[in-house]
Amino acid sequence: MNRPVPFQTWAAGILFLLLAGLIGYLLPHAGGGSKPALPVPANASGEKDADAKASFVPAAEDAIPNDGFGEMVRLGAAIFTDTQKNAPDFVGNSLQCANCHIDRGRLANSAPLWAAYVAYPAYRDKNGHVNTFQERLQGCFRYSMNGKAPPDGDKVLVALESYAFFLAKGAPTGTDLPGRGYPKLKQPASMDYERGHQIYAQKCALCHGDAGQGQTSADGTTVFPPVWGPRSFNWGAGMSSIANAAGFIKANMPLSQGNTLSEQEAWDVATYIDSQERPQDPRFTGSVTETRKKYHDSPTSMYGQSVKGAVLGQNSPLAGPPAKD
Amino acid sequence: MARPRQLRSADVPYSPQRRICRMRDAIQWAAFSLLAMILSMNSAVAIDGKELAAKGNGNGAHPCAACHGTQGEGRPDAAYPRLAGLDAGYLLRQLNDFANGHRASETMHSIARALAPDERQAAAAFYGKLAAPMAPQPKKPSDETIAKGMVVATRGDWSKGLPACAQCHGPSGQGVGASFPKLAGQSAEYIVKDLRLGRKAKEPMTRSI
Repeated sequence: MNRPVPFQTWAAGILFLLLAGLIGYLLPHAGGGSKPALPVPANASGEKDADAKASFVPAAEDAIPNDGFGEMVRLGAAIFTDTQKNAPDFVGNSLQCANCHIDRGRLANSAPLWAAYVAYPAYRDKNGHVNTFQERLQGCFRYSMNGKAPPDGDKVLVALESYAFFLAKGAPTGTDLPGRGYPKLKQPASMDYERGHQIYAQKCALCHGDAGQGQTSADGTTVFPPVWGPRSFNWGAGMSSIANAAGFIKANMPLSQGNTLSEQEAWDVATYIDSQERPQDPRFTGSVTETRKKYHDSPTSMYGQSVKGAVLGQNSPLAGPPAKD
Repeated sequence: MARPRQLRSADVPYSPQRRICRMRDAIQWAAFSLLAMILSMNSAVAIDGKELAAKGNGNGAHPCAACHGTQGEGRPDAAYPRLAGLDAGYLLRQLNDFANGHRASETMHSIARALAPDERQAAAAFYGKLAAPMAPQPKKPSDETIAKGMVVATRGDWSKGLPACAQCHGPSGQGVGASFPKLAGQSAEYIVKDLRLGRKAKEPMTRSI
């Protein structure tokens, strides 16, 4: 046929092709092995953090099952919240785990348990070998709680590990999750003790006391933990490093007013607090200079340094729980 | 003619009259001294906090008991708080804050201002030592309300940045020192009223509740 294709035929043809293309575009495409998505927070509007990344939300406490495992998880939660009462054999000061791991080990940027759980076993510079999660917990008792490490497999460790495992449900293992630990702040040009002293007096002393001794209710219960002195964490604890303390303080303090201090203020007040005396490092070799060289050789540790005419670590109370009568 | 001037004791050489004049002077001095002593003694005597609570100070401060109960247990139906057993330092600070307007309350502002500093101290000390049973609540809260309240009180809601009340007010709401009052046994109506006021005033503590 020699007749040219009529216009209607062209139009119908183009329309048909467009329709086919549209259908093809709308068809769902088969995905390759996609990574499992992290659970999204239920009320993302409540996020105070400017970070747009969704952070892991741990399982709710009323999801703890009512069985043997659940019982152990509950024990772990109880130890975490009231360590004084529930693990007294291993505690040597007036702190509770939940004092520095806020919201019972659930809160992002407050060293939550769920982020720690999936990061172990791991090599640690602190002791130069691969640590299991339980060994990591033993360190908490020895240093932060100025107590005794529960022996391997002790019920206290099993309970805490169960609780951490429960909170971490669904979190990918071997991943450095957002919200893990305390924020890492950039070290400033100056870390000022006197400025820190002023900040402490204005913002911290109301709860933690003028002499960092903490505060108890009339019946003797410690409600606000001591941040230095004989009843606080010892020189071996992570919190005695100014960098760690600054990160914790910036994100979490004053309590319920996290992220209201500037980074400089956090560094200054951390400097002030970590320039006060506290119980000895359990790894003390007998010489402050040697102990500093081995374990505290850093500009963010005041151990072994002279502050207000005294060398920190020289007059520290003994590490560990006070001797029982 | 010069008016005869009044006889003075100095004019009279030693005589019975002079002795009487001197005695009069002495008695006058003694009387004045005694009066001065009595007046100053009055303010040095400790103010009775119990009396103050029951009767007021007759100077603009009504009896505390009229609103806060005969035993300081409060009046929950009117949201007048319990005072008995609260920390004396805390109570004193509230009176001072009411007086200087730092804490807003039309009722308490004039009453607190009418109390002298030592009266405020006496009242605070009196109530601090009192132990009183809890006042009956006008409406019994549902189990669900109590359960929800317990979660806020013991765990808070950290998705909103809200700490547990217990983290500052003590694990059993027993209060800590002069800054964090005892909540246990306090009337629910008063706590709610105060929290709402705090939220309106954008108090850092209550903004998330």
